[in-house]
Amino acid sequence: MAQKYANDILLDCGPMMGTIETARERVIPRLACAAPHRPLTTLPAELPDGDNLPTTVPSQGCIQDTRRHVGEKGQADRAVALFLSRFRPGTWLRGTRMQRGTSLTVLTLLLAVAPAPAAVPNDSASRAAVIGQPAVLDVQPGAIILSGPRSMQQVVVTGRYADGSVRDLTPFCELTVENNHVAAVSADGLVLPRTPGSTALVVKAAGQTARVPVTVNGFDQPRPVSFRQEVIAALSVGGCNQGACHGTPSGKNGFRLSLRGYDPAADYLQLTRDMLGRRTFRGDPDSSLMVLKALGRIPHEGGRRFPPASIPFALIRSWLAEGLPDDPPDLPGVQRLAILPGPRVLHAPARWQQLAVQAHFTDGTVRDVTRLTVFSSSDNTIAEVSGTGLVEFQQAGEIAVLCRYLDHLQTVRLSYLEPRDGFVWPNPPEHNYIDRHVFAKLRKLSLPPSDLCTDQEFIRRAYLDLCAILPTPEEVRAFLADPSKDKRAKLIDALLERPEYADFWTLKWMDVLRGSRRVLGLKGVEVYRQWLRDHLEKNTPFDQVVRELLTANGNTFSNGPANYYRVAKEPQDLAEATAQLFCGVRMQCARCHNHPFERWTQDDYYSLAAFFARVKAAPEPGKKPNRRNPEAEIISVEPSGEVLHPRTGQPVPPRFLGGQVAAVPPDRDRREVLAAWLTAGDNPFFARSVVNRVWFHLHGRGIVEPVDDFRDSNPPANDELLDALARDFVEHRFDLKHLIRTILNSRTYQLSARSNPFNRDDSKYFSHALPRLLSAEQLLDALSAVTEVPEDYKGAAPGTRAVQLPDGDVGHPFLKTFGQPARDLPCECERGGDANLAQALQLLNGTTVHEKLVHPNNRIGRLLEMKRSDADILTEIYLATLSRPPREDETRGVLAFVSQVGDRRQAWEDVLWTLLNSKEFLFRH
Amino acid sequence: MTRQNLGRLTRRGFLHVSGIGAFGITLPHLLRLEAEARAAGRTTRPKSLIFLNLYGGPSQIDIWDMKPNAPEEYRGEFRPIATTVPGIQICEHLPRMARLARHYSIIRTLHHANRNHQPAGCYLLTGVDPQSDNAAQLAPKASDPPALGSLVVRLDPRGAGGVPPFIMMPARLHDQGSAFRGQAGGWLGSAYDPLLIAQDPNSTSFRVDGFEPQKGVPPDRLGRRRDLLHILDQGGLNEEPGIRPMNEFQEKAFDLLTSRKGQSAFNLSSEPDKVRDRYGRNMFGQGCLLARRLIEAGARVVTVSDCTINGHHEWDTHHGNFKKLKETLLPRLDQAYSALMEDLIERGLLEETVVYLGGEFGRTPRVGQGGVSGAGAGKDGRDHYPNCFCGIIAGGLSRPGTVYGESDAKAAYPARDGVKPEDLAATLFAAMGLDPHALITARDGRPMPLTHGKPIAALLR
Repeated sequence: MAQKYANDILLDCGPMMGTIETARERVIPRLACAAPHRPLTTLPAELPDGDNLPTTVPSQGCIQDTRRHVGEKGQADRAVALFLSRFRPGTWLRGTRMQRGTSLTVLTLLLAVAPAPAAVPNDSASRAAVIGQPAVLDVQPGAIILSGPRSMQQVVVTGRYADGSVRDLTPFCELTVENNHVAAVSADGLVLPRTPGSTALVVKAAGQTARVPVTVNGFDQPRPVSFRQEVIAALSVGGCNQGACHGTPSGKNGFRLSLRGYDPAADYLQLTRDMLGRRTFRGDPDSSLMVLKALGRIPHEGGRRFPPASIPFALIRSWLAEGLPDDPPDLPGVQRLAILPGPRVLHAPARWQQLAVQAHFTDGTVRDVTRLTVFSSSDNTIAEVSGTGLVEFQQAGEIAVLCRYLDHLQTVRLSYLEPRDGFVWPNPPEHNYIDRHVFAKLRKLSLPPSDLCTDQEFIRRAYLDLCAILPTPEEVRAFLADPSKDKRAKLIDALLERPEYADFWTLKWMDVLRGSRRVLGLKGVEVYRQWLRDHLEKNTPFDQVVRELLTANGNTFSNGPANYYRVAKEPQDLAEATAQLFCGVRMQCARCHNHPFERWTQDDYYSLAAFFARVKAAPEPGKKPNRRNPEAEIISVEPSGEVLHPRTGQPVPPRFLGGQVAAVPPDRDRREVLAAWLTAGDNPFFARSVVNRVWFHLHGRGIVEPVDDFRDSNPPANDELLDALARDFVEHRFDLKHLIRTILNSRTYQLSARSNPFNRDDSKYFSHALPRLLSAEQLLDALSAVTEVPEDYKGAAPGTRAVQLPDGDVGHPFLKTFGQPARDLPCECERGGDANLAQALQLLNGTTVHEKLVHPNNRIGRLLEMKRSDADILTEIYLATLSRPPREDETRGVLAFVSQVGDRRQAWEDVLWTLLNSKEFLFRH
Repeated sequence: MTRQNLGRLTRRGFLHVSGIGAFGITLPHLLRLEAEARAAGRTTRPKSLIFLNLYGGPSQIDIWDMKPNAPEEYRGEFRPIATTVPGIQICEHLPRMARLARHYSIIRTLHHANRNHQPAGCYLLTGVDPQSDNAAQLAPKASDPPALGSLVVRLDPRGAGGVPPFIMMPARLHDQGSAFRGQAGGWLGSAYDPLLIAQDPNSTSFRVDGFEPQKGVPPDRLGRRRDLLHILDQGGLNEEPGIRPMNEFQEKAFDLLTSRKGQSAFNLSSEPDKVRDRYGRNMFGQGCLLARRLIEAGARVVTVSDCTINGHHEWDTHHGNFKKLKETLLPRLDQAYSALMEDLIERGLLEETVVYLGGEFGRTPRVGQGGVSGAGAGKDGRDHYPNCFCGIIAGGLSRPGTVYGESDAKAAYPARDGVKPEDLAATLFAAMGLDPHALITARDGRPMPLTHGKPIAALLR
């Protein structure tokens, strides 16, 4: 079953973020050889003594692949070399043993050719500037216990300063071990054991010193390499099991791994049994395909995945040498991950942060797994994270770093702030709690908000956002002339009561509820739409609307919400849609495998689907299914039915998303239980996802963006704002109009779209309005209203506006060109938002605009017929199109233009054409 | 100023008469950046693709993979002829194509498991196996895999500006009355849909809507409007990042409507009669000619199907296979393909244009052998057959003059070097100089490789 879905749905499941390069990087020819290499690190004099070190011949030339590699940090090499020596000395890669100094040089060389990771400045002046004058040095963990020869510990060194600020000094401080027979430390803070005993790690920076005890033990009973906890993690770190490589459902070149190791049992069989065991050759590990390919010693499409001298590779190599053991069944599992140092705010010039990942196991032990963790940044334009967990900010901002070890995910939030020359907080007045939270964030990020928009901008914006219409010239005049102070608030209240409000917001929801005649039949779409519109017009509490929707039964041609169960019929599809629409969670990935960057597992997925196991959609008795022209269907609930888990084949009990198994009495509709849980005031998803969606519709961007992709690794732009809105929404009994009114009355909503030099590049924190192209329906309705030439739609009553159409299947080319969705997906992303050439052509030269312009009885025709003066006509069409009177310079220019063109009608057509193509008209701003 | 001399309103003139000095006139920022890039020497022309789709499924054994030694009920009526490449033979009814053999290579082992036009067509047009033969599932949806051209445009949106980057003609392909997926932007979004020219370019009334100025708006009036727009549509808002793309597209659209390059690309009547005759005065021949003109004007991918004006198959020879091939399909193809290839070679365009020729599957090896699709085969016909069929690749970075893959004695199955359509897609991308596994982001943010297929090294230079 999993395979079937994998093929149907996720055939193209791509590799995921972080471990792969961006498209732009790929397009650039791979020039790894031309990339600046790290300078060779000089070998320090006080190299610890050691065994004969493993040796290998450095590969010739450069790494041919710009993909992420592990263990690339030059600083780590000495320590890594020591560490490697712990892996079965003598069975190391074939080759002659060399003396220590030589082999270290070889290793250093080997690591030095790796592409440079996030760079820390290496000139002493810059380093001293980052270090500054700390009052105290803090080292985490406070005591280092290295149990067993393969243990390791990444330390995090924090400088604490007199002003209360903190800086990460891990890559900047001086690190030594007092007794280098016992342990060694790399320049980037990885401590590795050498022989049992006790010593101390000494950390020095700017005259300050800290000392951390180090204990090395457990050499008498070394732990065997764990396939499931170490080898699988190493394969993830190497990217071997990512979606673009062997993790794709069909594998690569006959070799298939489970995506990111979610199915270690299957991976074990693939590696040890498939292909007669040629991949893993316990007799001669270095002849194993797994070694030859991973090191790029024989042609490998994925190139070299590991430097031979890297910890992940050393683990793979050891596992082979130890005879490919699978883990004993009683091996303690991973309970959770902890990230050091936890959430943090960094200040310039200290824009780096080393992370350390600590795995807590079920037997109470804690092990450092930093080098076996896959790191990724939620926003690579703000900060990048290296394979060893060093975060480097490129600019001020906030990110979440996702740390993944096996199937455990933990995110850590980091921000970086920079003082900006000339920045003065303008202290704008706060209209309500929204402004309090938005402005607090903007102030922190040195982003002064733009000015309040003008009344002219406000009236246009509010009409478009709430009702998808433009104000008439009369309405604009009246609003501008109104001297009252609360006229904006009054306008908001008035607009919320207009029928166009219900039309527009019904359209928004019907898009993602997938109201389409192709599936539901025209009659079905109409009753579905009407049901929702009635509720929105009455402002029924939204929890009630969703409960009605989720528990609907009956005939889809007479009971609107029953259509929810016709659009999607499989429990899996219903679970996906419900999670995406009302929890803001995309579960799709977990259908076939555990979600790669979220905590959702296949178990979560199927236990949510179980709520829909008993819903049945059947043709109306006596009616035959008809694909071209769907007939009604009857939705009902069966007394039995289960969802089976694809891996186990066993029925899955219904369980709330991220919560407990639901207790559902046998005679109760499981959906009722789900709906009650979802719409409860303390549900962690519902209110947040709804307020975020409404915010998205009003601001053009969600607080969480994409609007339906809530996950720890995709944090909100402003947590406090999202929480406050959700709380307010719950406290006001899920009152949508209250929510919209609150947002529109905020100063944040009323900020101008004109940026200032400080906030120009911000599109995330709501420091100014984001101009956006009118939606397909808004635009066509606006063109009709401005020209006074209504559009005819096939099958719709005359005078119907585009916003009122039942679905996207009227086949209007203008609407399609401007991104009207076909309503195939429960995703806001289906409505195309990006400008394109076809749109520009439609507006400049398309039949729709042209015919409205030349229509004899259009607005121009009427004004000319009324013998209005040129000045009057000008004012009228400016008010109708741009919702403002013309400025003086525009008046002079246009009147001169009109007088030059001999044909007055043609001249006014040209002027109106120009205004309709102006960005001020085309964009909501 | 009289009307006559107002033909083209100049900015200077406007400013002069209206006394506006405050409007600063700057070209949209992005265009300026583009111009700077051009000045800096970033002028390499990206390679293009012409995808000639013989919709319906041309017979492999009768055309490019002939088996003269097979029993008569297999080898059929036609005889092979030598080509200009020793050892390569093709059908006697493709004499012109035979003369050009050193310019293309034949793949003889394409294969997949989709027995009907819809799924097979999807597969060839996208490089993704639909794994479904259900017409409802194959109806176009927003979650579909994108057409090859959409992927190219998404990866490298640079267009020459003269024409839209991805164009399909002469119809949206259908089967049994329904259009199928694979002919649009799919999960990339509708912004990556091709420009569909659903018209017969051989018709005297051929005119591509939207690319010629509207009646009553001759170029001088459009120019006047453009000038007025440049002057009135100024101010701070235009410099906001969210607005710039529309500015850029507006400028491109103006260029398209006013530049001779763009307009004339669609204007087949500006070709000399001799050239038009050379391609063949039929829908497919003139489509090939139009494709060449569009590539010249800067299009990246042009798909020309040999189909009916309603998008139904022409090559679906369940009955009268030999008669149709001999009398209509092969002569038409021979003329159009040879004309296109010679034209591209003469213009030095073949180096930068990949030309692919093929259908969605082949035909049953034995004459009269049905049982694969519902439609079966008449005694002089052949049924659908996806297990082994041919494709012809030329131009760009492809290696010409060879045959890749070998079928068994009856052209029934690949004997060695089987090629899946995703591998073909990967090879076409590679021949265009694109990394077949380059990552692009889907509309929902998921990173996806262009294709999971593997380029065929032997077919690449």
